[in-house]
Amino acid sequence: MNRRDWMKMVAVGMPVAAAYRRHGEAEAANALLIVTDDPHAVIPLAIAAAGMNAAQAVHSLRPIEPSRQDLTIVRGGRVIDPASEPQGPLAELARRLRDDRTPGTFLVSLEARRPPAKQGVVFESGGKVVETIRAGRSYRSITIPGATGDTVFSLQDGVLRVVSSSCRHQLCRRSGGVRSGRIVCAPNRLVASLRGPAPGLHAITG
Amino acid sequence: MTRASFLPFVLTVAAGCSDAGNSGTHQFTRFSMGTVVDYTVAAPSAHEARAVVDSAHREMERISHLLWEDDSLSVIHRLNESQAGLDVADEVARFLRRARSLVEESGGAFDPTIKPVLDLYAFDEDEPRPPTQDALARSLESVGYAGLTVHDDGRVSKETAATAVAVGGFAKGYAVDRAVAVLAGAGIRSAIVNAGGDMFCLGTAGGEPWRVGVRDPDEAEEILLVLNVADAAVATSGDYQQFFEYDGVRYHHILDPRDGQPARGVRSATVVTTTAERADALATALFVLGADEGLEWLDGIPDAEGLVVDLDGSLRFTEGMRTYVASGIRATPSGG
Repeated sequence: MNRRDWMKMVAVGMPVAAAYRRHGEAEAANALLIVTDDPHAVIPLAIAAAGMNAAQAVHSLRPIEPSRQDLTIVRGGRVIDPASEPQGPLAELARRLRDDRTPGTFLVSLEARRPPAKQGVVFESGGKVVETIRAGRSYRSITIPGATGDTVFSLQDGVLRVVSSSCRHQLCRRSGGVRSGRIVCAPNRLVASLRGPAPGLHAITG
Repeated sequence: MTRASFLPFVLTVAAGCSDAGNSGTHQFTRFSMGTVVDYTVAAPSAHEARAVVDSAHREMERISHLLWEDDSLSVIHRLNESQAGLDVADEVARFLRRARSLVEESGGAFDPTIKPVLDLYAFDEDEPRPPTQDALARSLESVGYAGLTVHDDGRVSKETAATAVAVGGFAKGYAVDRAVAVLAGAGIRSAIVNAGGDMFCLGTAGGEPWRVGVRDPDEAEEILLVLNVADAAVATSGDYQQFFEYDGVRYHHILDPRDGQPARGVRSATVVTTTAERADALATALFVLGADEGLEWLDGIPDAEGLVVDLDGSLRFTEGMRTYVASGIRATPSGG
């Protein structure tokens, strides 16, 4: 961040700038910088206000000396006062923080990870990769043999679905089409995974 | 309970087979108990990782053959089919006693003896339909863990021939815990064993907590929020996991043992606690009890935290659950 942007940050968000400078937070081209006393309550609100995908949001958290609560936007390397977008949710969050007299004791930097690139499809049967499909193409039917028989997939406009399966309960077919993640047919020991950089998760529950 | 740290991290996860020959985190997909089991293991090489995962999965399969009621040779299946009960191994007796403790701890909201009612809904059949009121009432007479007695000599007796237990999820959790124990015994300090969404996160991901996404009940591909988890188990019960629609009404598989109907209070319930076995049972109970009663009940359990997705899509959670939330939307504490 150059000196000119520093001066802008000082002008629009003195406590954030002061905390940022004092604690040497890493630079980011696109981030929210927040001084707060309750990061675990504010972080989800900031993510929602910024319209970030929860799975792609990454934050860093650092204790700081008590400072006035505040929120500053860094966008494309430029410092922006959220109050300059008076109707926006970030402006509303910034106002709430600034109105709160409780000193902030944490500096939060919140960024969105890069979105995933185009994805291909990997088909595994019995633990072995049996077919891979390149990204960006459509297929009316992809037949994959499994433990109880064949499962037929289709890949149309980036949506993968099971057209028919030899399994008894057809849960794989009934689960519908997916644009990310995978489709599993447990009786056939089949996993069809849409490849691509993951959204920063190690596991999914539910 | 181990408290998760809040340092940031970025670690991508690739589906499918692991890298060959490299130190780092390796992933393997297996199947057991009718579900997919994902192993994520930090090991010096893919070869070593595969070897320990094979050992861990053999243990999981052993548990499956012992406890999974859909395995016709399992002890639980034979118990369910028996007229008056049977002798069981000490491991099975202990398992059933732990189930009883959780039935008592949840005030009956978690009760595996719901199986006769569950069978009426025929979720696995081609044309499932809800039971009639008469059939439901008759079947409910067999529900209640008091109808199952685990004696000190290893004999399990049933009050009626119809008494039966649905311990699939609970057994899945136990199998996950046993698989993790095998990994830990082999020197693995960092791993996730995830059986269909019931998981244990062993250690951390290179010093940072494991990031576990909670699925959005309305959008199967969307993640509602992310939990930071280390040395703890996570399980979720949701009304979207197994269901059918009949006459425009959705009937899902998480039945309230008190009336045999699908519990309608929330869309999903997620619990973080010390073991996967316990997480599964507590998540089921939290779902059945609903947001107000369930979160208040769970707040009183010292080693467990939880969250629910309410019927309107909002998130509500126990006070301590906030420490696990890495990022999320619409999150509010249980009090408001």
